[in-house]
Amino acid sequence: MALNSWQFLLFASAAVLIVPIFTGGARAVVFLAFNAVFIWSYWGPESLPYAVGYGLTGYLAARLVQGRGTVVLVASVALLSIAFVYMRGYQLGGQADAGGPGTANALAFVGLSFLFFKMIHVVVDSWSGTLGHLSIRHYANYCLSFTTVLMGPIERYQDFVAQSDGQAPRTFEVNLDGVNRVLRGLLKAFVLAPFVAPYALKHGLPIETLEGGDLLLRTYAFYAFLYLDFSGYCDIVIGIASLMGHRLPENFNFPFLSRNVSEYWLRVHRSLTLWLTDYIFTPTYRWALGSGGLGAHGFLALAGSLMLTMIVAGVWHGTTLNFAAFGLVHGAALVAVRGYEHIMVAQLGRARLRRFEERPGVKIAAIFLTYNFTSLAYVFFALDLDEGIRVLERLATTVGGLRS
Amino acid sequence: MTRGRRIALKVAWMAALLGMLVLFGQVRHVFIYQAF
Repeated sequence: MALNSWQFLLFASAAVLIVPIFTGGARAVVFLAFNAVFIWSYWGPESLPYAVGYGLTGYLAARLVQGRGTVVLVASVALLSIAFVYMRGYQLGGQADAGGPGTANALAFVGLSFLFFKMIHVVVDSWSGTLGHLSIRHYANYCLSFTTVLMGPIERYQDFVAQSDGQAPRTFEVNLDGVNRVLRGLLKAFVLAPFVAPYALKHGLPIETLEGGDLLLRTYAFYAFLYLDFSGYCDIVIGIASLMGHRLPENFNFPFLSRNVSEYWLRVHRSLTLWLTDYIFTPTYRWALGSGGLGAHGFLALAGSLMLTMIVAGVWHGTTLNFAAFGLVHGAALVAVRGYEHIMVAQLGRARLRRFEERPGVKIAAIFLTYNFTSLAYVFFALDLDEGIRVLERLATTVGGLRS
Repeated sequence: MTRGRRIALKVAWMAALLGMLVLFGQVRHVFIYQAF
């Protein structure tokens, strides 16, 4: 059920009109029925057993870890992670799969990566006692909600449950804004993104014979395409959820205006960044600081934790080696940003550094550098590793003026 | 700006968006994140 189809228009209209009529358990049952119809259209009879089985495993794990020790938690997370890796079919020597669900099979169903991260969040929070009451009906709707099941945003279980009766205000103007948001998303995803797509990086380009400027424009165009495609999707589902009285987390906030890579990750796919911060970066950093030896050295612990977090972010996005490279370059950039801040604070002090960074020229230079770095890093998102390196080499020897 | 004028502007903007969608909307489009 494509999001620009008449079927989805009817389906979403019915959900928006019918679901808010109910409250409590009845609302959960009605919402689950809508979610079942939606996911059936994507998963079908082939994937549904695996998806439901995997989701139920997460639920049982979340129940199992309550009030138990760290070993049970680690074993549960490891089990879910191993199953995820197997189901996704990682092929780190293979071709990039960005650009479409080319490697889709019954096990690697649409939304698997998002379901995995949601389940890890539920299990860890259940173990730490911060989840609140875990009920199967809320859990099922949380995992399967048609507004987030395909591609996020990665909502928190607690936020989902707190709004399970549609608490967000639904005045006439709020509803108007919701419809407006859906239309804006549809325009981004189904008009602007396809318009930009032919000019973006893609597999099989004659990289060595393309002009440097052309290649650079294609790199920028891929960034624009990805932004329009994914933020358009987010606008659609956030708008639909708001029409049902449910506020989803925002994912985008003008990433092109980021002044460093750290800020960039708070402006692009923000719900993923916050997940990574809570469940990868913070535990790793804490562990590294407390582990003694090199890890006890503050900056090394920080750098190692950032690198690991971004490599996880990279391989979460795709099954091939280029995604690990994507994570690696972003991890290195984050370490560089922290290193730069560290040195500058030591040289200038915080107050002077802040004043320096607020100068218009410095702001523009920072935005320009960040925009170009993040655009160039996307070569490892759009292309496989070999092609990505060749694009960077070609850009270095043409636009960059370096000798080959 | 009055509430009525604000709503009228929003409705006009939505009509423009809808028009662009009908005129230029692509039927076949697979979201890149669907691969994930």
